Amino acid sequence: MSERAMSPAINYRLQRHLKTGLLYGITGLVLIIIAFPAYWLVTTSVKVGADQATYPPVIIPTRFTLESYEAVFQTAGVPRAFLNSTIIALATTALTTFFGSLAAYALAKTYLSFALRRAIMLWILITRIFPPITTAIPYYVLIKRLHLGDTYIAVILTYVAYGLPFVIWLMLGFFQDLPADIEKAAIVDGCSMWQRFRRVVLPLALPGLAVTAIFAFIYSWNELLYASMLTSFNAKTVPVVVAGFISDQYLRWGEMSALGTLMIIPVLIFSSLAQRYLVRGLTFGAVKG
Amino acid sequence: MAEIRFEHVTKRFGNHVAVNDLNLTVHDRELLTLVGPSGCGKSTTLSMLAGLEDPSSGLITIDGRVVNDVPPGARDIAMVFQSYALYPHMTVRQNIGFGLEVRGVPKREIERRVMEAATILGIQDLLDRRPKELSGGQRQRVALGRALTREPKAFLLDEPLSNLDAQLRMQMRAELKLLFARVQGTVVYVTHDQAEAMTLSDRIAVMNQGVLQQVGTPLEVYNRPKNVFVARFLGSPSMNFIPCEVCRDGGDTYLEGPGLRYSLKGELRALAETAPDRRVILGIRPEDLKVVPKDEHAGLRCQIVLIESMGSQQFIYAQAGNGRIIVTTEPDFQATVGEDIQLALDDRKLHLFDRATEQNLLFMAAGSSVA
Ligand SMILES: Nc1ncnc2c1ncn2[C@@H]1O[C@H](COP(=O)(O)OP(=O)(O)OP(=O)(O)O)[C@@H](O)[C@H]1O
Ligand SMILES: [Mg+2]
Repeated sequence: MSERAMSPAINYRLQRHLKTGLLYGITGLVLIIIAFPAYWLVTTSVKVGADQATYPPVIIPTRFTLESYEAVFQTAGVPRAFLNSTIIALATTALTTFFGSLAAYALAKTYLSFALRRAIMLWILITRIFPPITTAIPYYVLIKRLHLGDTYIAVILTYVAYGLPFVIWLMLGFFQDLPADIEKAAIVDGCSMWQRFRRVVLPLALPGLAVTAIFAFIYSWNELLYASMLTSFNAKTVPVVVAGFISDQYLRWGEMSALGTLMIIPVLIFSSLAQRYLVRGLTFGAVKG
Repeated sequence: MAEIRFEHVTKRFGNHVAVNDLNLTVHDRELLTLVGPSGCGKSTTLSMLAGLEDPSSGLITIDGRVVNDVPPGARDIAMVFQSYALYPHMTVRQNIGFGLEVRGVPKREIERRVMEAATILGIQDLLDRRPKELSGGQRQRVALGRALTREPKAFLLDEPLSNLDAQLRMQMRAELKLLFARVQGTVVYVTHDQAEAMTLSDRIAVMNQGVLQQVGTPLEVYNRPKNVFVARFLGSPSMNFIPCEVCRDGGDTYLEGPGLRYSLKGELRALAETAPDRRVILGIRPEDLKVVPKDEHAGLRCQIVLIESMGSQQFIYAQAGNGRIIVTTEPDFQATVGEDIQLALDDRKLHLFDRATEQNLLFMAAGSSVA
């Protein structure tokens, strides 16, 4: 090959290497920015007291201790709070994804005019438009009157009401994107509406359901405002316990970080379980593609 | 037994009339193709028959029973979609058996019928794969298998071959023909491919813009097209159309058009004279024209503009006046671009259409009795 023919090829290869390097660089930077809070949380949980909130901050700790964890386990009600949080989060996730996907399917498959569908969708979203604090007081009163204070039901009901709009919006998109012919085939095959939903539509919407479930779980697992208002002991959730380490006299960074670190674990477990269903392109092969 | 009947069926989408006053009977065990250009209402007709769309007016009957209000699952019909619409999360076996399972057929029986269909279609080895692991032709077979196991009253197929490449399409076309000869069901087959329609059908129904144009056996429709649309749609390359006047000169009657002065005799003359205002369109299929030595008087004079060799035959494009003519010739016919040629016509192979209505004079002259 002559030199004249080779040099553009070398240039091109160099360019490609540079591009790849740049891509990795930027990705790494973004990852660091995203991961830093988690790193900070975990390291703070094993720092000795003097390193926890000082200036300049200790970014890479050299002294380690499990004191904060010991303190957390000695705090009353922590195991109970984990149990409460798990029950509430799982129930909320199940109920919101179930009812939310039913509602979304109905909205996706009913012959509605464009304007009407949009109106309904906006209406559903309204519950999420104003800040939660504005409804907190009426909610508190309502739950009290119903004699549901400090119960699972109170918290779950609240979370389901808050989670549904999100689930409906997310799942509507998934259902609308399913190839219409597949459902028509199911209809001609003799499926009832329910069979069609359960045997054909839901399996195809699994990736969407998984995403939705992960978000619903994280939301109800981490929610603080309503949990701290509606629960005091029986149904107290982990975030409320974490917040309990803040008082007007002290800020217990160590305990907060330790409990916060423990809180991440169930979320990781749930997400990785749900992630198995995040198979992309599941509908591939159904229609010509 | 399944006779399907459309009686004055109309379908509107808003202001748009997709199917307009359709009257059509599909006989028991017949393979009827619905052909027409894109958007002419073929799929809509099929969807109404399947029950996926409600007619705006009119009746649809299967075996004499009005099915307008019968849900799709209870009509006992099976449908093959253009997109195949296989269930992606199920194996081939489950795909084929699903319709039976939903209907509560016992497991054993399902297994037997799935195997039977798979054997007929030659897909026994694919039963445990999922649709995404199949080629286009294999998916096509699975879609057919899903219809076959149901043993329905009627099969509806909506352009089942249109996603396949040309060679596979030819092969599947032949297989389909054998297959349906074997299962002996009533079949409504939608296509916009005239070759598929000609080769597969017992009868063809040609549609245009929601209106049924003509129904008949492939040869009837090909040889006696009711109007210019049908004549143009069937046959490849398309029929040639030459606008002509019917002229009298002494005792003789002539057809006069660009490059053409053709003396009419006998039946054809009588037919031409029925043209309402003597303005007609002469239709001649490319294979019915013959290149003859130039000194012969009768026929069409034109000049060659393009020659396409197809291997087994040759298409000659020629200019006659301001009109374009296509002629099919033997592959070894010697011709050069720019050459003047003379084309002989055959009285029995000419079609005369009224220029105003584009109707075949045969059907206009004798009223409906000829049809
Ligand atoms: N759901 C619908 N809403 C509005 N218009 C529709 C709808 N379905 C079909 N149409 C219109 O009805 C007409 C007939 O459509 P149809 O699908 O029956 O055509 P087709 O003959 O099957 O065409 P193709 O060969 O492209 O499949 C088209 O003009 C189409 O735009
Ligand atoms: Mg169509």
